[in-house]
Amino acid sequence: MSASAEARPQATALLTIRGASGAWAVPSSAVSSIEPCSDAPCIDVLTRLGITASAVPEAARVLVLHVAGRELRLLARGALALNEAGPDSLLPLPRALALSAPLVSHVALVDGKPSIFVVSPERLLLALGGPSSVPPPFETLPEAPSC
Amino acid sequence: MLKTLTLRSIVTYAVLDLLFAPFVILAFTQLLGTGGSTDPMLTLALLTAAKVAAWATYLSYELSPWERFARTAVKGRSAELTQAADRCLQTLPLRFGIFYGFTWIATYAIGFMLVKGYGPERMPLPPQADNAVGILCAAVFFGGFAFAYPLASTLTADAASECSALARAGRYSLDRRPSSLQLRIAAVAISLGLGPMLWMVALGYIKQVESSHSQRVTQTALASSELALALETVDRARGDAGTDAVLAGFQKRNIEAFVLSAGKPSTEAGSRLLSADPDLQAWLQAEAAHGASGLRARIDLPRVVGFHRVDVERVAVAVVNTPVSASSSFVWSSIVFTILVCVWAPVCAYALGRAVSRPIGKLTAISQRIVEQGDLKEIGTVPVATNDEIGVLTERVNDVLDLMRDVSVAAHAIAKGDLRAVVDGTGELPDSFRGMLESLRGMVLQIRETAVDLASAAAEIFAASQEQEAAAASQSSAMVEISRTMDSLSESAAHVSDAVQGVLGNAERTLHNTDDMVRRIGELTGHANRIGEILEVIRDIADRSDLLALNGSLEASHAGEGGRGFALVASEMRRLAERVTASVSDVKKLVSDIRDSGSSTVMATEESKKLAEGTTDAARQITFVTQQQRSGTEQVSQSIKGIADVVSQAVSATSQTRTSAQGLKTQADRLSALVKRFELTPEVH
Repeated sequence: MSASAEARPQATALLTIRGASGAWAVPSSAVSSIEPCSDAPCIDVLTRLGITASAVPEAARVLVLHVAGRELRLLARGALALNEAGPDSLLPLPRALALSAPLVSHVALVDGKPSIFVVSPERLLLALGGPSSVPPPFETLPEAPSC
Repeated sequence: MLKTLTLRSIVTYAVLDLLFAPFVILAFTQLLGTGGSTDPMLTLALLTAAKVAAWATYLSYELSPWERFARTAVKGRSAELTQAADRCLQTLPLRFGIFYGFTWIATYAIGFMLVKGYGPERMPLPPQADNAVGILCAAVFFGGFAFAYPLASTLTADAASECSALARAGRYSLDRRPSSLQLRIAAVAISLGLGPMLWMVALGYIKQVESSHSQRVTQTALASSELALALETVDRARGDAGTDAVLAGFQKRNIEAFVLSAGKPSTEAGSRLLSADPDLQAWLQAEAAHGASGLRARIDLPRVVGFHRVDVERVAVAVVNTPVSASSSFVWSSIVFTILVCVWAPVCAYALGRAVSRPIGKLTAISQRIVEQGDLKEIGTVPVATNDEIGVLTERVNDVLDLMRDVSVAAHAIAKGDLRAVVDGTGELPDSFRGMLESLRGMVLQIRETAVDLASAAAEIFAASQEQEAAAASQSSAMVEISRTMDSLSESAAHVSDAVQGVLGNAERTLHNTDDMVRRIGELTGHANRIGEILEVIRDIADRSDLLALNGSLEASHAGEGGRGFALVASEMRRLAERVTASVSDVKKLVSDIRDSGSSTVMATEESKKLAEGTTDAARQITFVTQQQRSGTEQVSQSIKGIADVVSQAVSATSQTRTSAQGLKTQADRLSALVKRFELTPEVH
């Protein structure tokens, strides 16, 4: 399962994460599984998005994605939910914002208002070093928090 | 210089003895008719020395007790020693006077015997010399006694006074026999009278004898001359017949007369006389052969022979055969005078002694009355008869009596309370009496002032005692009230103690319940923790269910349409898991609240426990304090009761003090009244 972020699907299933600091989403098709938080390193998407993580303790999960043959483990703080996003609910990211937020592919509308950044797994992979690069099984990054 | 009485006495008597001795010896030799012959004088001088030695030895012997007394230190002079010394001093004058007189007798008796022993050729003595010496010895005895006896009294007077003073100081009596002054005067007077008189009697007697001898010598010489003259006359006129007549005439005159012719007496009587006295015959022949006349007249011989030559052949011899003798009238006169002196002297001595002793006796009687009866008024004044020593003594005694009367009158006045008495005169007694009177005045004045002060002080004490009594009574009432209050307080303390005992029980039960509660809350907390653990498991299960449901939903979404039903189930599962999670959260919150409540309860219970413990401690402390307070209160109550008793006693004592003060004031008033009886001099007032 691979989908282009730039393409405007008919309906897209999004796995939304609503935390205290903010909400973001990732196409559920990209998510292989959801695991409980463990000691394994993972990527804090909110931090990558430039949002400071809230100090409020929240339930955390690890989203396991397989993108271009690579497994990405994303840290998700907050409530997880599977939502169907229609075509009208996904707005492409304006160009100006795309430069400042390269991980985000769309902005999902909720109640008619753009409120959720949809993170593109591919961009995330690019941001992490491209599809050729094979990250070590246990990448240790400075920003990679653990649960 | 002459330190001992013995030496002083010996020297005194020796000087007097040696002073008198030459005169007596001279008089004695003259009396004996030994003339200037030195033999009797020397003999008597030696005897006098022996006499001095004899009486000196006797005097030393008699005074030896006194000398022992005098040699003994004053502290060691016992009563026995003093009495022995005084006894010898008292008896010495009479004994020594007699002994001394006898030494004179011995001296001249022995001297006479020695002189007599020389023999008639050396010392012819008349036969009457024995009598004369006998009288002379009596004379020297009395003469010696007359001055030895009073002189011994004079010499021992000071020593006897010392013994008397010592005995008076030692409060013991001396063994003195009563003696009479009159008797002593009489003895001395008789001695004084008899001594010279007997001496004169002896002298007169011997002079009578000598006169008798002189008379017969003269008679013999005259008779021989007269016979020679008569024979011359007769021869011329009448021859032998005339001679016989002349001789017969001499015979009639008691004169043996004869004519010695050619050595032969003319008469038979003459022949007998000469043949009877060969010494006379030899003397007559020898003297008649050489001299015209001669006289053989020895006083110790009964005959005095005188011769006178008539012519170449004849010698007229006259022999007076008359022994020497004193005239009988003289002897009788002497005897009479001696008797007269023996009577007269005591009478005179009695009169003299009475004149001396009577005033002294009066003074003695007065002194005795003063000492024994002390009655000065009836004694009166002792009459003064003379102006001699006794008169002066009597005057002085009268002065002393007047002084004593003045003192007595003053003492009577003082006894009656009149201190204004005045005692005149000088001397220790009036001065002391005046000093005593002055001191008495000052003392009475001080007593008077003291009595006033005492009365004032007693009044103050009385008032103070009254106030003190009232205060003590009030204090006693207050004490009784306090005692009652303390009793009530003690009962209250008992109640408080009982109540606190209840509080202590409750606190202890509370503490026990609190402990139980804490234990139960602990158990509850444990259960809550267990529930929490279970809830955690449930929450974990719910979480895992949610995760499972989420993955299910994810898989369902991956499955597309085919997984829609599964998605619904997963969704329901998720909701269920979320509800479970929410419920778990709620329950967890409740459990947390329960736990918090339990903790709070535990804390509160701990506080309660602490409070209960505090309450228990406080209750125990209160119980202890209450018991102490109760005990203290009871002790205080007892003390208060004791104080109340003491205060009650103090009330009684104060009452007694008030009574005593009242009595003291009465006594002080009496003392003041008593002292007011003493009348002081105006200036003292």
